[in-house]
Amino acid sequence: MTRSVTWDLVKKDWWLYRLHIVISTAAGVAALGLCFKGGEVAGVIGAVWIFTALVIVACMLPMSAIVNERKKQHLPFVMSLPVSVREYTAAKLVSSVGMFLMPWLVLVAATVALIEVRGFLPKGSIPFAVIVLLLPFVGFCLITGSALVGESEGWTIAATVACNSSYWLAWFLIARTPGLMELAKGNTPVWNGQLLWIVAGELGVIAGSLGLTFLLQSRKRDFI
Amino acid sequence: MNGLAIDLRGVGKKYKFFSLNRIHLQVPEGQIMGLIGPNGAGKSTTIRILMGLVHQDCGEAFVLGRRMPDEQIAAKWDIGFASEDMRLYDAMTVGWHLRFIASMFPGWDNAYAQVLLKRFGLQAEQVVRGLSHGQRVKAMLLLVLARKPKLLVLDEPTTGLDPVARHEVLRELTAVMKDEGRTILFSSHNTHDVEQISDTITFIDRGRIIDSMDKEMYLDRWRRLRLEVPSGERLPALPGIIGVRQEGRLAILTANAFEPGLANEYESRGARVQAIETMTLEEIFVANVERSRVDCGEEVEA
Amino acid sequence: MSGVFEISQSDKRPMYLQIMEQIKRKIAVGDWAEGQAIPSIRQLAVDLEVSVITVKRAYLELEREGVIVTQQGRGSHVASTPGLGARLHEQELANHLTQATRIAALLGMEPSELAERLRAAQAEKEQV
Repeated sequence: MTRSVTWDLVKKDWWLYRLHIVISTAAGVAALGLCFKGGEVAGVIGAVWIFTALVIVACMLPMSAIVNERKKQHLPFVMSLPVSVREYTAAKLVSSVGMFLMPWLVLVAATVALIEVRGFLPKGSIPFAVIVLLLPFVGFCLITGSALVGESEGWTIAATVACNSSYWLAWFLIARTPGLMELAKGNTPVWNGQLLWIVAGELGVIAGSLGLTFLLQSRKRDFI
Repeated sequence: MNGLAIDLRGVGKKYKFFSLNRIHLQVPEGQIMGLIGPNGAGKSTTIRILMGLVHQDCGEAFVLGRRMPDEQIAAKWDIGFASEDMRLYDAMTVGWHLRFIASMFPGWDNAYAQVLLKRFGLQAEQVVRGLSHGQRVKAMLLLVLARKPKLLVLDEPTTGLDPVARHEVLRELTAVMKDEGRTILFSSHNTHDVEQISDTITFIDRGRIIDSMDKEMYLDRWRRLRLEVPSGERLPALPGIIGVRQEGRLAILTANAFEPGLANEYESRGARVQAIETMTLEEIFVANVERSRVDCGEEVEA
Repeated sequence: MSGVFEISQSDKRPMYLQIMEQIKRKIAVGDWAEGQAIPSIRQLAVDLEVSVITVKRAYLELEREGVIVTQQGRGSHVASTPGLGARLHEQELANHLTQATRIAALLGMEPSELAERLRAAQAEKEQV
């Protein structure tokens, strides 16, 4: 009889926050449509929109699914179920990442497809698109981790602000690295060592933040 | 398992402004224990520790034979927990919550759940957001009751309920006792409820357990004696008496270890016993807390 | 099977005493016959919405007084002593008389005065 209810919690989250998933995906797709239809200006606006949509989801989702669950006093209800802090955290991480991945995968795939098919950007920019779109995902994991470990709006907002500021810094650094931007203008996507390192770094931060979150959560002695 | 549904041994927890002081608490299977104490006494902390939600600093906690908080997952399959600071998801309906819990717990009794819906005046289609406070509390209790868990841990289950709702809840709680393998621990500062349905009463104040005893035995030990002292001399507090209030020739004595011989003792000292009254749990509660605070030097005797 | 019992909140006497009194009354008026099975302790506790321990105490005291008998695993029943109902009525009267004497003493009443009052009360009853 002692099965794990972690999956039930994940499904519960996906159902409770289904609107988030739908709206964010829809907004992103609308932005893509703009890139698809319009000219250069529309394309730029659309590109910014896509990025912004992801950034917004990265901020709102942890707020709704994690911080509010505590604020609105749903946490004792969840913890009254046969779960430990560890399982709760695992369920939250899985459900949150899942909810973010939905719009994210759609947007990344569509962006890559747009560049390939529609060519509104040279194909050499595909690796850069991936790197740039990975940034909100990294931010999302950091914000989610802060929301879970920090247990408050304050921590979550602090993490959000830190991440949002960092995106532009990251863009700036990439753009200024000698030799990289030339690759972007090329006609074929080139994944050289530097770009691969950057992606590895992003994935590393994602894995690291999720792992650290899990570790810190498990060590808590006063969960509620 | 040694027949104890709850076994706390020397459990302690230190917070910045409050600490729980080496609590010893035992609740045998098949009983209802009422945990009573002023606000901030440590009722909720004790309950959170035995639910594994808070890790104690020292001592051992066993619930249904499981060590807490390490084995909390296994324990919680058989524990129904509802607390006053718990809220259901307001965007969802009562029915959604029922289905959510029902799908998780094999012991769910749907027929009983439907009966409770009617008795509590709730409907599955109602959204939680639209419920009154009393209805929310009842909805939460419904979710734990219909699971028929071996142990019910309830933090202030009747607080804020109107008299009708209170009656509905007490009725269902006592009905649980039909099965002698099931146990209830509930905390309250509503002494009437505790007095009515508890088998054992535990008093807690400022992080310490003051008393823990069989209710009937407890009520038997407390008496208020009204005496007339013709000579006007001040009466002493004999063993068994914890409070003497005297003004001129009339004295009111509070006894916490009463036996008939006590009245005779005073009569042999020239006092006349006008009445020996039983005390309500509320009166005992206040007297007990005051006494324990004086004993611990925390308050000056009036 | 469980009859109509009512635990009064305003009655200052302990619950177990109220339960005992009401059980005795049921036997005295004949609702529960001698030897008849009565609700188990748990069942009565559930019906009355009181703690098991309170009913247990009431039953223990009643057993001590010879009013009921509880057998392990077989439940409880009214004692099969003949004339139990009448005896309980007797007891009730005796209790009331003791009460009356005690209050009279507190009021400083003479025994003859109390007897007079009793006669007057009986006369009044006959008139009705």
